Order: sequence, then structure tokens, then C-alpha cells
Amino acid sequence: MAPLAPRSGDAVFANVERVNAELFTLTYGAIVRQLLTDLEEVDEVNKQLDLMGYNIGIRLVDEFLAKSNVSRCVNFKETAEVIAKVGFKMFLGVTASVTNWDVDGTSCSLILEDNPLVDFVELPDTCQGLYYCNILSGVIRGALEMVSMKTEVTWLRDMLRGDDAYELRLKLLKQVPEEYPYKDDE
Amino acid sequence: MIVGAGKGKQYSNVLEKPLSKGKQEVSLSAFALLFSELVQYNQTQVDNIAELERRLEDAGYAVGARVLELLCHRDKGNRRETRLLGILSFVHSTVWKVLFGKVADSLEKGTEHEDEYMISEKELLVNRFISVPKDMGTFNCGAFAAGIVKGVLDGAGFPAVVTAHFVPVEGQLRPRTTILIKFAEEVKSFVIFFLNVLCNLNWVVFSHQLLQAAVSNEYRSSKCFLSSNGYFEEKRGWDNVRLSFFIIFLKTSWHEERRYSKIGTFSLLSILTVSSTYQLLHMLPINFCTR
Repeated sequence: MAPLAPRSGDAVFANVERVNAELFTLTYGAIVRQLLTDLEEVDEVNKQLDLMGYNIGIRLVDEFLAKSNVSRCVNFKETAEVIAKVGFKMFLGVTASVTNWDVDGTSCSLILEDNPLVDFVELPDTCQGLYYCNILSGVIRGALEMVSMKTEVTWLRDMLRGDDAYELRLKLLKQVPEEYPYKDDE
Repeated sequence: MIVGAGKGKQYSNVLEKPLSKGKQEVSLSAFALLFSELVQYNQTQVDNIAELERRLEDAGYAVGARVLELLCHRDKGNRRETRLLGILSFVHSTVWKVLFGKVADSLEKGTEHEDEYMISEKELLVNRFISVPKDMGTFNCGAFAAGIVKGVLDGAGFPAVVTAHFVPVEGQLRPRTTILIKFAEEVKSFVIFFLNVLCNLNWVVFSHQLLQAAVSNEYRSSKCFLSSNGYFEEKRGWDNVRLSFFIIFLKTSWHEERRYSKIGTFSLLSILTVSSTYQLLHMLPINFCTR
């Protein structure tokens, strides 16, 4: 069977089941609040959010591949574009733009203008160190790890902290060669 | 310092940001994955099912309280339902439609107890991708939805105990989820009854505002009430509510006698009694007014 043509983010998003973004936003808010109460330290909350994102990412990538028909990307540049244009659109209904490539094409910035996670949110003075959307960086890291790319994802700009956009720095650390998880004699 | 976010635009304060129309959507899987993380995280924090359900309910409560504020502000011009059936149908239709994309399958009154109501859903959104392992017994992720309902009801001044249960349905593989609402004692009590009577009279402009203020949580926290006629500029708690009631009752009993016919005898009696003297109002035990 010939491989199916990759679908655009819009097309996939139009065909998946959707829920009201406010339910999503408020639920995420409830999670962050619970974490803040439980863990007390803002750094711990950041870590936990990243971990939750990672867990989501490793599950989400399956659905992403199944529904978007995206085949292997030729380089990291294409990967980043696919994440920004198809990945974000498919799950969150928004798109990101990719800029600020470094010379060897291993790190770039994803800029989000619209971010459904942060509706109704403002950070109180006590939580200034919080990366509210840290779950997103976890998701990207987890998803890319499942397609054999070790990455590091950090927040450069965060509107909740007074910047003018949401900027994620995506850095490719290592491309893991594909290995079968089993040996021949087993 | 603190900045709200919007389409590439900055606001110095989240309140300045225009309220969205609520039409934005995200994919169901994004929500399902997030919800699953919520459940999994909470599982690590507890040692029994009841505790887990309580924590999910807490998370839902936070959502419900905010949804009430949001919907009342956006759709209802800052008015809240003040009647029991009104708020129940608000939950069953408006809230459900906004959050889960459809009106809930049914809203029923409990047959055994007067103060119990049930909202049933064949396939509750949050339970859609959840299968409960055998060893977790009666655990129901619907506790989250129950928490939402509780948050809405509590915020509107109708405190209730809300729980989620699986109810097997014949000819269907998966049980449906029923959310059981048991209203607290005081919902039936004098205060709410009184407020509802006032609401029925509904002729003094500021009685309505007062009602809004009183049934919301504000009356507990001694915040300022502002009446439309500006008589009471800074009001502190029940003293002024009483005073305002007094004036309403006075006006009511003197000029609106005809309207009494549609109110029960008890309320007529109580209005007359109460309006006869402000002193009597002062003697109302404060316990009547607090939860």
C-alpha cells in the first residue's frame, strides 16, 4: 500500500473529536493549583509539570503519527516545523512559528502567540518562578524521545512573566540510532 | 509586572483582557491525556480510593467555581440562579453544554429523599477513556465532574454533597454515571426560603441585588454591599442585610398586599412578623445566617 499523504494540521484538527478549551484550561489550572499546594516549592512544581508533560508526550506521539500520516522527517528543521504546524494544531488548535535557528540547525525557537493553557491566568507574586506552561515543554521532549531524538526544551519567554510572547527553545542533543528492543536469540 | 496573555497582545492585568466567547476548542485527546495525568498524579498522593475521589473532587470544585463565575458573567449578565430548580437546570443544561458539549442525559429527583437530585450521563466525558481496575472497586473518575457540580452549586449558595456512581444499564456494556446531589440542610432552611420568597416578589430593585449578594458567599465575608439607592454605602455583614430586609418588608407589607396571595401562608406570616419590628430582626440568631 502506498503511504498516505501527510495531512495538514487543520485537516487533522477538523476531524478529531474536540472539547471546549475552557474545560481544558480550567482543568489544567486545577492541576497546577493542586501541585502548588502539595509540593509547596515552585521548582518542584516545574519539575512535576515537566514530568507530566513527558508522560503525555510519550503517549501522544502514537496518536500523532497515526492521524497525521507524517513520515520520517529528513532533518531536525523539518521536525520542528511539523511540531509547530501539525502537532500544536492537532492537539491544542493553535499553531506556533519556528525561528532563530542556530548555524548547525540543531536548536531553534518555537513561538506561540495563542496559548489555550493560560486563559484566565495570572501569576501571584509568590509564584514568580513558576513556568506555568511547563507541561508543554515536557510533552515535546517526551514525544521527540519516542521518535529517537533526545532534546532539551526550555522556556525563553513567558507572557505570564511579563514577556511579549511564549518562546520555547528546542535543542537537539542527540539522535539515537534506532535499535530493536530485542536480541535475535531471544 | 504581571501580564495576561492574548493574541500577541499584552495586558497589564488579566482583568483587562476581553473575555473570550468560549468557542475555542482543543482536541479531546489533549484533554483526556491531561485528565489521565491528573488522576495518575493524585494516585501517587493517596492510600485509599475515598481519598483519591476526594482529591479529584477538589480539582473539579476549582473548575466548577470558576465556570459559575464565567458563565454568569458572560451569558447571564451577572445574574445567578436563586432557585433550587433553576440552579439545577443551569447545571444540567448550560454548564454541561459548555463543558461537555451536550446537555446531560437526565436530571431526576430522588424518589427516597426530598433533597436528592441526580444527573445521569450515559458516557461521561471524563470517564470515556477510563477503565477502572478490579482492585479499585467502586472508584469513579466522575468524582471530578461531581466536584464541578459541587463547585457550581456551592458558589451559587446551594451547598450540597455531590458524589458520582456507576449504575449498570441493561443491554449496555458500560455502566452509566450518575451524579448524586444531596443538598445540605440549610438549603431548605429559613434563610434560603426567605431569599426565594423575596425573589418571587421581585419588585424592589435592590432586593434582587441584595439577594445576589446574600446568596453568594459574600455575606459570610462581611464585604461591602452597595444598594441601588445608595442608602447604605458601606455595609458590614448581616446587620445591614437585616436593615435592608426590614425596609423591603416594610414596603412590601404596606403596599403590595395583593401579591401575598401567591406566597404560602408561612412566608406571609414570617414577612409580617419580621416587618413589624426591626428589633425582632435584630434578635434573629446569627446562626441562621451562616452555614
